[in-house]
Amino acid sequence: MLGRDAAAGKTTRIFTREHADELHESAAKEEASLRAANADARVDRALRRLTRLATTTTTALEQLGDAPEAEQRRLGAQLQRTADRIERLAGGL
Amino acid sequence: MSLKNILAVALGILSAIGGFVDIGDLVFNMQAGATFGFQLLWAVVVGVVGIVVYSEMCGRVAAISKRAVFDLVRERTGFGAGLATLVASEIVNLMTCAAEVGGVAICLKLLSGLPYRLLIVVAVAALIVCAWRLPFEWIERVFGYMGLCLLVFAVAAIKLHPDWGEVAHGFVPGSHSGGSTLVYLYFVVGLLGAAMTPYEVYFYSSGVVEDQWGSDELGLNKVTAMIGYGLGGFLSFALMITAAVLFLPRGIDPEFIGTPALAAGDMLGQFGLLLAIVGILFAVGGAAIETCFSGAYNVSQFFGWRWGKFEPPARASRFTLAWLVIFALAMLVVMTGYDPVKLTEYAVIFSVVALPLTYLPILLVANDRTYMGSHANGKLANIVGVAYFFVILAIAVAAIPLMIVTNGGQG
Repeated sequence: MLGRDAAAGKTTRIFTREHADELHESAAKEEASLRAANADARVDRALRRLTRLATTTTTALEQLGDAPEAEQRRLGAQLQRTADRIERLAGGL
Repeated sequence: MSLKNILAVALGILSAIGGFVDIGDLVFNMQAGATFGFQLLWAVVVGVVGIVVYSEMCGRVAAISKRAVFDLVRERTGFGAGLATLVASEIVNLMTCAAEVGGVAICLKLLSGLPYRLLIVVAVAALIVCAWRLPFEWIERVFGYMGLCLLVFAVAAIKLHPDWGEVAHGFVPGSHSGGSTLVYLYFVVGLLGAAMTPYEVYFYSSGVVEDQWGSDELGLNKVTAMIGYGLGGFLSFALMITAAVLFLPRGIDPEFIGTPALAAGDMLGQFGLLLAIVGILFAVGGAAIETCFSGAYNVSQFFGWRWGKFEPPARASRFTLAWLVIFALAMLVVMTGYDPVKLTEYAVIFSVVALPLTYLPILLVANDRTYMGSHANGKLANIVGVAYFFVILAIAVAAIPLMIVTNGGQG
C-alpha cells in the first residue's frame, strides 16, 4: 500500500522514507526470527520459502524510501506480489 | 441563552470533539478494525456512554462540592487505599504521558524526517512551553481545534463506501468471526479502557474546579459531557471503519502511528495524509498535556497542596514541579526507545485496573445529599452509574489475564 501510494503521489517523500524505515525495521526482525526458527521436516520447506520472501520484503522496503517514482511503482508491485505469496503460503500451513 | 453563550458552548464542544481521541483510542480502534472489522463498534458505544455518564457525574460533583476526584478518593477510600490508587494512577498517567510524547515525536518525524530522539526533546520542550505559557482554555482550544483535522478519517470512512448494513450490524454485540474469542474480549476491554481512561475524569473534574463552575454551569457540564464526548465517539467509529475496510482485507496490522495516516492519504492524497498527521500530532499533544496535569492534580489534591493552572507557579510550586517532573520522566521513558504503540497498549490495559477505585468515589459522592443537596444523582443516573460500575469491575478483573493469554491481542 505504501509503495503504491508513494508511486501515485499520495504520500510525501519524507513520509515515504520514514514509514518505509519503520516497516523495514519490523520486517528485518521478522526475517531474523524466521531464520532462527526450527521446524520439523513437514514445514521446513515452507519455512525456508517464507524466509526468502521475508528477505525480498526487507530489501524492497529498504529501497522504497529513497527510490524514484518509477522504481517505487515497481517495488510497490513487488511488495504486493510478495505479500500475496506469503498469505497463500501461511494459509497452506 | 445569548448568542455569545451559544458560541462559547459550540466552541467548547468543538474542542471536546477534537480532544476526544488520544493515542489509546487511535491504537485500539485501528487495531480492532483491522482485526475484527466492524464487529466491535458496539464496544465504542458502551465506552463512550460510560465516559459521558461519569464525566457528567464528576463534573457535577466538582461544581457543587468544589472538590475534584482525588480529593474524594482520599476521603472516601481512606489513606491506605487512596495511596494505592494514587500510585497506580500516577504510574498509568506516566505511561500514558510517555506514549503521547512518543506519538508527538513520531508525527514530527513523519513530517520533518529529523532524528527521533532529537524530536522527543523538541516535543517535550514545546509541550512545556504551551503548558506554562498558554491559559487553560487556550490549551484546550488550540489542541482541540487542531485535533479536528482528524475528521479527515470521517471523510475517508465515507469515501471508502463501507457496507453500511454491516456497519450497522457492528453496533449489536453478538457472535464474532475472524479471531479467537479471547482476542475479541481483549479488544473489548481495550476499547472500553481507551474510551473511559481515568485521566480524562481527573482532568475534567479538576478543570471544573479551576473554572469555578457552580450550580449555574450544571447545564453546560451536561451539554459538554454528552455532546462533546458523544460526538467525539464518531471519530472512533471513523477510525475503526477505515481500518476495517482498508486494512482487514489486506492483512495490514496498524502497528505504527504512520499507518493510520497512510489510510487517509490512500483515500484523499497528500493533503489527507498531512491532515491526518497534523490531527494526530495535536490530539496526542493535547492528551500529553492533559495526562501530565492529571498526574499533578492527583498528587496535589491527595496531599492537600495548593494546586491549579490559574495559580501563579510560585504560589502552587509543588503542583508546578509535579507536572514538570512528569514531563521529564515521560521524556526519559520514550528516550529508552520503547515503542510508544506498545506502551499505549500497556497503559490502557493497566488503566482499566485502576478504573474502579477512580469511579467508585465519584458514584458515592454523587449520591451523597450532604455534599450534593438537590443535585445528587437521580434514579436514572444511579441505575446507569451502578451498571457501569459492574462493567468496570468485570473488565478490571479480566484486563491483565487477557493481555497475558492473548499476548497483547496478537493471539
